[in-house]
Formats: sequence, C-alpha cells, structure tokens
Amino acid sequence: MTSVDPTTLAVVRGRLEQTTDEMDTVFERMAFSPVISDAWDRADGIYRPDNGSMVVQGERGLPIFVGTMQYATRAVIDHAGKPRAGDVFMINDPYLGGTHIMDVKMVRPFFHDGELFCYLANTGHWPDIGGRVPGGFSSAATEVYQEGLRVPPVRLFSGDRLNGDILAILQANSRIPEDIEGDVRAQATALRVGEERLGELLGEYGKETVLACIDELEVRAERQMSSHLDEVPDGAYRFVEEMDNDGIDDVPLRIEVAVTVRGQRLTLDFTGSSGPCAGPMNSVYAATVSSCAVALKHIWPDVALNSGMFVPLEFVIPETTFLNAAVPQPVAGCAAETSQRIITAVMGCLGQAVPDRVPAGSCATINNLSMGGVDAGGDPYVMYVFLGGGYGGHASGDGLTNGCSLMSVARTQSLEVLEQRYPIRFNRYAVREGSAGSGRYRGGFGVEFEFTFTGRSGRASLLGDQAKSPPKGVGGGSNGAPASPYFVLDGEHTVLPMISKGENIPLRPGDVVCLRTAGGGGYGPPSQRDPLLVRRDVDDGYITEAEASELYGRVESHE
Amino acid sequence: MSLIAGIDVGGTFTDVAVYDTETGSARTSKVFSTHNQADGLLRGLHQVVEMVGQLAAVVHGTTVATNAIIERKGAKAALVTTAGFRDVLELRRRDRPDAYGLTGGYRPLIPRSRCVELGERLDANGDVVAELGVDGVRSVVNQLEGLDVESVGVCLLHSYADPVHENRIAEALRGALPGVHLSVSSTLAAEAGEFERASTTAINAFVHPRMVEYLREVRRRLTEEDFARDVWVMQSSGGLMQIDRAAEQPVRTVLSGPAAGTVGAAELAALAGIEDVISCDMGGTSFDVALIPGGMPAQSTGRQIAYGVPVQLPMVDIHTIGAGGGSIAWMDRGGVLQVGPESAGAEPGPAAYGRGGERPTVTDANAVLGRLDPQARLGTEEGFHIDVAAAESAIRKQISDPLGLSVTDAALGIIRVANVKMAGAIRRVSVDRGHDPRRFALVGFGGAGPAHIVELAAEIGSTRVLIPPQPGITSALGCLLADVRHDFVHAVNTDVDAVTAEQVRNVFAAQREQGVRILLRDQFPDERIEVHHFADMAYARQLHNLLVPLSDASGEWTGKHLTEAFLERYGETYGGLLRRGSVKLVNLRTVVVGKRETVRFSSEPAVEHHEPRHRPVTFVEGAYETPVVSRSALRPGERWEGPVIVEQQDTTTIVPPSAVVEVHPTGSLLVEVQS
Repeated sequence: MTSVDPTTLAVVRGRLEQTTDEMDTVFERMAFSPVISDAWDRADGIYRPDNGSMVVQGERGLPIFVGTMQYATRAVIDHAGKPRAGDVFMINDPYLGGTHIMDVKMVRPFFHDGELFCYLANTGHWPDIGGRVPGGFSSAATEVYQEGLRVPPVRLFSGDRLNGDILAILQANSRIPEDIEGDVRAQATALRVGEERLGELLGEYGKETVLACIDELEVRAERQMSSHLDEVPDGAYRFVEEMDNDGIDDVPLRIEVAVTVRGQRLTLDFTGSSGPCAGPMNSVYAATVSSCAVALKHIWPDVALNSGMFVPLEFVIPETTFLNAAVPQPVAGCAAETSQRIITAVMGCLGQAVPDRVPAGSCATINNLSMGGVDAGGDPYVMYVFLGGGYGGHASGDGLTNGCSLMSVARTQSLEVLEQRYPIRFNRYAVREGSAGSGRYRGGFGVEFEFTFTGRSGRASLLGDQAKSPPKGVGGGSNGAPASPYFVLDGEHTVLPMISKGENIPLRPGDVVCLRTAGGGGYGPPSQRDPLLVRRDVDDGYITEAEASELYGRVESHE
Repeated sequence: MSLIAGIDVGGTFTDVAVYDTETGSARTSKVFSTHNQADGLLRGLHQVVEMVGQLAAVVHGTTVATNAIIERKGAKAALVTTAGFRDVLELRRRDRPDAYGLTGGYRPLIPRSRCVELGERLDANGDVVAELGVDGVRSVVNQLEGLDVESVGVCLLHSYADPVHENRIAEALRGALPGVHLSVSSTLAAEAGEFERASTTAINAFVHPRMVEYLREVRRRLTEEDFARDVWVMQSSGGLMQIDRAAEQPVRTVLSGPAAGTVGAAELAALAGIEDVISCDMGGTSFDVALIPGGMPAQSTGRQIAYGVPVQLPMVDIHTIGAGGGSIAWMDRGGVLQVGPESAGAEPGPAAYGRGGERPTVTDANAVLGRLDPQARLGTEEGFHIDVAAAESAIRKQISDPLGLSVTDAALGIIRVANVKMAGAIRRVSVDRGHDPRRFALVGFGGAGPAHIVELAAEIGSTRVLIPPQPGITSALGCLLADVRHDFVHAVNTDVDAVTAEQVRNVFAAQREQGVRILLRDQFPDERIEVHHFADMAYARQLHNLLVPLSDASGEWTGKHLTEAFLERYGETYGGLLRRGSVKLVNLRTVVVGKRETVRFSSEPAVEHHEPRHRPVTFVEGAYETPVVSRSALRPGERWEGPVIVEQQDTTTIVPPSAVVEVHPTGSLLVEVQS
C-alpha cells in the first residue's frame, strides 16, 4: 500500500467532501419536489466498489441516509447486473438498504481507466410513488405492497440514456407524475457532477494515491470514534423508549437498547425490543444501524462520515424485533418516526455514561400529515407537511424550540406558500405554552399548528407518535409534554382512536386539523435554575409569574 | 469641487479613499474603527482631505446594522402580526443550527412578549377574510403603549398580495405613537414567505433607531465641517441609496461592506478589460466569494445573517466561509490536519503577532515560509514586528511534531489545506449558478487575499488573477465606483399564462416610475437613468425561483415570451430542460439605476525605481532566493516572472514560481497562472 503524506491526506479528504457537497447542491437546486429542494430530504455520497461501504458522504445530507446508502449500494452490487459506464441504477426496496419506500436511491458506477473505481449514490425523498394514501405515509398499512411501488435495483439509465419504459411505470404509479421526471433528472445530474469532480481528483493525484487516502481516512475515522469511546466509562447501560402503537393494534412498541462499552468498543443490542408489528412502524436493518450512527454523531459531531466510524461498533438487531423488518412487513414509519426514537433511546442510554454530552429527551416525531383530494376549484392536490418540537435541555443551555427531526435537517414550508397551493387556511402557528419540561436548563417548546380545510373534498392521514410517552427529563428535570393532536370534524372535537395515527380521515369544508407537538425534557433539577433565566422566561413571555413560582419556586423581581 | 470620498467602516479598520475627478488621482487612509463609528470615519477623512467641506460627495459602507444584529444590541422593538401568528420569528422554518449535535440555541431579535397580535386576515389572493376592525387597532395601540417601545415592525399574513391592512395599521400607529419608528413588511420585502418577511421587518425595526442615530451623527459632524452635499450609503445589493433612505431602511445595509468589495472587484477588473471574474476577499477570519459573470455581481434574493435571522432582499450573492489569515490549524482526533473555521481573531491573533497567541494560524504558516516581511507593521501600530520564532514554535508543537513533518512542510500543508477549503467555496458558488470557475479570472483582495490568490487560482484551474492597486481598501474603492440603485418587487404567484402582457407592463411601469421619481429628486438627469426588469420564475411545482432577466426593449411580456426567457435561463443554469411542465411567475422585479460619473483612476507615478531586495521564500516547488519588490516602485507594463513578492503597506502579494505578473496601466497586477 502506498503511504500518503499528511498534507495530501488532508487535501484529498477536503476534495472528497466538497464533491459530495456539490452533488447535494445540484440535487436540491434542480429537484421539483419541495421535500428535496426546500426541505433538503436528500443525501449524496461515494462508496467502495467491492462492498459498497461509505467513502464519504456530504455533511449537509439528510443524516438518516448516513448509514443506509452503503447498504443500498451493496444491494446494487449483489443484485443488479454487471455495471457499465453510463449506468444509473435505481432502487427503493426498503429491505435492500432502504428506509421507507419514498426514499429513492440512485447508484452510478464510476470507472477510471476502464476499471470500476467506486460508486456514486444519492437518495431523495419522492413525494408520491403510489400506495394507499397520497404521500405514502399510510398509518394502517399491513404490508409493504400497500405503501407504494417497490423497485428492486434496475438500470434506469444505460449509456447515460434514460430508460423511458421505467420512467413510464414510475409515472403511472404516482399521483404527481410531473414531479417524477424533474426529480429523476436532478438526481441523475448530481451523480454526473460527482463523477466529473472525482475524475478531476484522480487526474491530479493518480489512482494509487487517492485509494491510499481513502483507506487511510477510514482508519482515521475509526480512530476518532475509538478515542471518544475510550473516554466513556466502561460498563453496561440500558434504556427503554416506548412508541405509542403501530397504528393497527393499540399496544406500545418497546425499543430497548443495551449498550456495552468496553475500552474502545461499543455494542448496541436491541434484543429486548418488541417483536415485528402489524402496522408501518417496523424499521429495516439499514435504518436501525443508521439511526444509531446519527445518535453517535449528535453526541460526537466531529467524527468523519465514512465507514471507519462503524468499525468500533457492534450491532445486535435480531429479526425477532420490529427493528429488523423482513418482506412484507410495512415500514412507512421507519425513516421519519421509529428512527428518531432509536436515536433518543441510544442517546438516553449513553447519557447515563456521559451526562455532560447528552441532552434530555427531545421531541422525536414529525407528525407526518398527508392530505389529498379536490380543491374548491375542482383540481386535485396532494399535500404533505411535517412538524417540529422542543429539544431537551442540556449541560450548557435550554433546548431549542421547534427543532427539526432528529434524523433530518429538513425545513418546513412557509404557511403563505402552503395556503397558495392547498385548500387550507391556518388559524394558528404558535409556541405551545406549557409544553417545555422544566429543569436547570429547560426543554424547548413544541408547537401548535392549526388549520381549517377549505377545499371540496379531502382525506387526511396522520402518522405521528409520542402522544403517550413524552420526551424524558434527566437528572431531576421534568418531562416535556407529549404530542396531542386533534381534529374538529363536522363540529365534533375528535381525538383519533390511536391518537397519533389515523388514515383517510374524511374532511369537509370547515373541518379543523390541530397538531400540538411535544416539548423537550428538562435537564437537572428545576430548583437549580438560575433565577435570572426564570426571570427572562417570564419577561420574554414563555411563562407567567404564577407558573414561574409553581415550577421554579421563586422569581427574581425586576429591580 | 472635484473630490469624492468612499469610506468603508469595517470591524477592525475604517478605510477611506478620496478620488479627484479632475486629475483621476486617489488618496487613501486606513485607521482603526471606533466604538462610535463616526469618530473613525472623520479621523480617516482628515488624513486625506484638508477640508471636508470641499468634498463633492461622501459614499459610505457601514457595519452599524450588521453589528447590532450580531451583537444583539438593537432597539427595544415590537412586532405586530396577524392574530394566531405572533410566534413567527421564534418558530423559524423548523430547523437547527447544525446538522449534528442538538445543543444549539436561538433567541429571536424581538421577544415573544413584545409580539402583538392584530385581528385581521387576508387569503393568498389578498382578499379580505377577516376585516381589520377599529377595536383590533385600538387593542394593538394600547398594548404597544404599555410596552414602551422605540420601534415597531408590522408583518401581516399575505400582505405581499395586498398591503391594505398593513397600511391601515401603520397609519393608525403613526398617529398614536409619535416618535416611534415604523417598519412595514410590504414596503420592505413584498414577497411570499411569512418568516423571511417578518425577519426582514424585525431586523429593520431592531436596527432602525441605532441607524438613524448614527447617520444623524455622521450628517451633523459633516455639517459642522461645512459639508452639505450628498451622502450615499452602500446597500447589500451593491447599489447606493441616499442617507435618508438608509435611515428608513437600514436592513438594506446588512452586507454593505462586502457588497462594496464585489463592486470594487467587478469595476477594477472591467477597467483592466476582464469581464468574468470571481471576487475573493480574504481577511483575518473569513473568506467572502462572489461570482461576477459579465461584470455584474450575481444577485440573490436573500440570505441568513445569523442563525434564524434571514434577510429577504436583493443582495450580492456572497458566500462566506471561515478561512482567513487568523484561521487556526489543528489536528482532529484521527490525526488529520484541519484549518479553521475557528480563528485567532484580532485578540490574541496569530502566534506571529506576539500578542499571546499560541495556536498556529495561516498567517504563521506564511511567516515561517518567508512569505511575510519580518519587518512588517500591523496596520498603524508602531514597533510591531512579525515574530517568526513564535510562529515556528506554535507550528512545531501543534502540527509538525505530531505529524512527523518538518516545520516547513507543515506550514506548506496548512496553506494547502486552507487553499483547498477556499477553492471548494469557489467551486460551490460556481456550480450553484451553473458556471465553470476555470473560465473566470480571480480578483484577490482583503488583507490576506493577495498572499493566497495565485495558488488558489492554480488549485481551481483558473489561469488569470487580478490584484487591485490597493487590495486592503477595495471596499472603499467600490463605494466610489458604485451606482445608485433602487429595487422593487411585486408578488404575482400565478401560472405564467394567467397574466397578460398588459398586467406585466403596468407593474413594470409603476415600478419604473417609482424609481425614476426618487432618482430625479436626487438630481439624476434622464440619460443617466437605467431600468432593468426581472422575473422570479419556476416550474409550477418547483420552489426554487430563478431570477430571469428580461430585455426591456421589447415590452412584449406575454406568457409565451416570459416562458421562453425562463427556459433559456433554466437551460443555461442547469443544463437541461423538461419536456413538459407548466411555468409560474412568482415575482416581478425592477431595478432602477442612477449612473454616477465614471471614475478613471490615473495610475500613480512610480517612486524612484530601486533594485529589489531578496529573501529566501519557500513554495511548494522548493525554496527560492526571491526578489521582493515594492508595489509603489512598479511601472505600468513591467513584467516579473515568479517567484516574486510584491509588498505594499496593507498587504503582500505572493507570485509563486511559474506564474508571471504584469503591471496593468490601471495599477492592478495581472498574473498568468500555470494550471
């Protein structure tokens, strides 16, 4: 093996990261779906030619895709035909390195001097690829076949020419075919930009040196992760998160993680978790592993995104749990929902070992709301929105209000643009008072999001969670408020039977949808909160004087 | 009366350039910025003009607004919103500061307790859904009186579609709260997107009283010295506005200085006959890069000033990363060399400054390689010398020993890694706009820019570099070179085929008239007024708008014509078109420009020619006994083959081996780079 000098190593690292950054940029700029272009529900990376393991992935990519794309690339290697230059494979099969069916991966082999050098891959969330509800978030699906069109690894492009037959199938299965072509083009162009940059890098440094750098960077990422683990006290830790239900049976789903730290190694064992569920909250293996990786990155953000970070880790995720789903178990909730609770479980678990590094529990559901029907003018529409909530307080301050999903960096759309596009009128979008857990550092607040339906017909589906078990406080801090969604249907205040989940709820003009999201847990005992911070919360209008004395015992006066 | 002053007040220095329109000569000064920025401004002026009253005009780039936001030192302000939406600032667009790590925080510029709700509602078409009643107005007035605020912003839902309710409440507030500053969203940024519009409004309200106070002080001090002519203020768009308008709309100045830098870069390159350039401003802590295709700085319609504090206004599209002379070199836990984004700043500064800094920086790397003059002065500080030994020791301890490299190799590595980061920023702004950076010349300025720009060009594959005559005061020069500019936006938000050419014409005519009226008041004759029309357009289902320039000659703005213009622009930017897909017209924009007199710098006669000194300098190619020439001794047409170092008061230009530098008649240095 060629050894590389430290400068070349640092330079090649920078160039590889920039390549994936540029791919992310091109993808989001060109994409049609707001969920990609505005909410950044996409990621790009480079993967090894033999086993698909991650060489580098963009820091601005959607975190949950950190661990999944290497499995998707692996699936292409294992299941697709021999790669040729100019091929682009497409795959969205959740069980082959996926998340939910809406996350579509494209994988492009990269050849240098006639030899396969690596794969470039990306994932984008397509807003609709069929299934029983618009947007794919069916909360009552019992088989993957109801969740949308499942695509095994297929050649979408050959010799850089789009296979129109496949495109036609995709479009025929989507409620919004126009978006599909725009997104396909954006996604494929991003891969081509990556190929160009990579070609330039190889031209400048030569294949041997770049390969040596890739090997070495993997070793360095492993070293980063190991050195952090080294500082975690050895021991066995256990933590349990409970999800409300699976949308079919109103029975809690248990995520039990047993973490063992020994020297520079970490084992994450999910054996104690609930068995596979009938509804769509099952997680596939790749998504479960990836969620763990995201949790660790939230604790140690400096660790580089490449497969080296996984080397010190061992995963035990038995198929007897709902966290390692097999065909045809439904999985629509795995990317947006179950993943987040895996993250809070892993973080909660490690918080016992390194409390200074881990915040209290955070809102870990995005309340996926999809709606479709006909607007007042008679035109069809498909709307998909998601929400944020409060993060947990932490050793250095209060939790963030209305933080985004723990596994994403997606932003929400503007209310004004939503009203332009869809038959809804907002009544309120506000800080949810009383939702933050109190503590030395309090949690962030959840939100209240309420609109009146103004279209001709509509069916709403909600796929959320955390209505029963709230974000947990730590070290004496109190819990945040759980999610509490409701509807006003035909004048009746309605709470769904599963509270956080429901499907094809018929809406009539004047009906109201109100989602109230969870607040973050408090960190440390409320009695230790700096009285000036209590005062500031009163002055800023987050709590009243009365609440301040009730929660914290005392309030500083102004003078 | 032929002197014009350009003044850029930055975080550390206040730069002044005074230009004589008759002789073409310019005089410059650079003094420390002061707490009251007006003090430094006057002090800098006094260094270069005997009598301030002689000046024909003063053009000003300011950081008053930016600092107020960053330091959170603004007015006690309130925000009036539609009932149900007072938390619009707090809720942002539901995000977090960093992708990884959950411990970031956020406080809005205006706290929740001073956000007041007004009973009223428009729908997305601008139609009234809930009337604005007298009781609602009275309630808001009462609440605001109780809050005792200096400044009030008003941002109601869908006011971009119809400002009727905003106008009515503003009128009521003007009557009821005399002396309180008002910022109204539909007059600042009449575009859809309630959070960005509210943020823009809140920023204006927050910085308004400070800006008024400051500009009044500037005006007063200038008047005391018998100056009673025009004072212009640089906007983030790269155009100027009258001081009175700046006082009303300070949010338009958040990128004042950096925008002036891009104007300076664009104009100085144009004077040297180069049109397509990328401006690269490298200072102590940050690297600002902007694409300038065809001599016009690329524009964006908004950006974040700080986390959760976006501004939705036309501005030069400047991309900023944490890379500068003070950027710290460090090793991550995996033993990989990293540079920045943390900076040693002004205090303690690089180790070589001998002011207590112990962590190695990019400047320290330049120092140990012999690239900086060991006798150099820091600004105007007396008795200051580069401490090469301190720089060496910092690099040895923290970089070269752990990596097993010589200090020289470690220093070369630090510079290389910093350059790669900056090159990445250049590629990113280029690809974002569908351009290939290799086709562009780089303009390197700022205190550290000229030391890196040639190697940076080689890194991205660009073959030409321009270094302005006085790289350290390019923003002040930009102030001299900029035109006056007024931007107007009108929200449309409809399918492009649903608007008629007449509607478009009417909107443009109204915008044109508004701009022309202001310029005529400012004494611009007709022949100096230019009008440019643009449309924000997108495929119907896309959210990212494309700014489409429309030729204003034809006036035939039919749906078909607009669609063609959009498709052409889309193809240029993204290199591909869709077979189908309807197109929407989001906003109509007009830019009205008042052309100022052309500035023709005469190149200063060189001081007596003298033989260059030599000193050993290390490049990637090796160590060379390198000639060091003084910039003021260079004559137009003079050529030097690298390696050569060009020194001047405010910066050092480094020309590595195999590059060739030539002095352009305008005084700029042109470098040919082997890529």
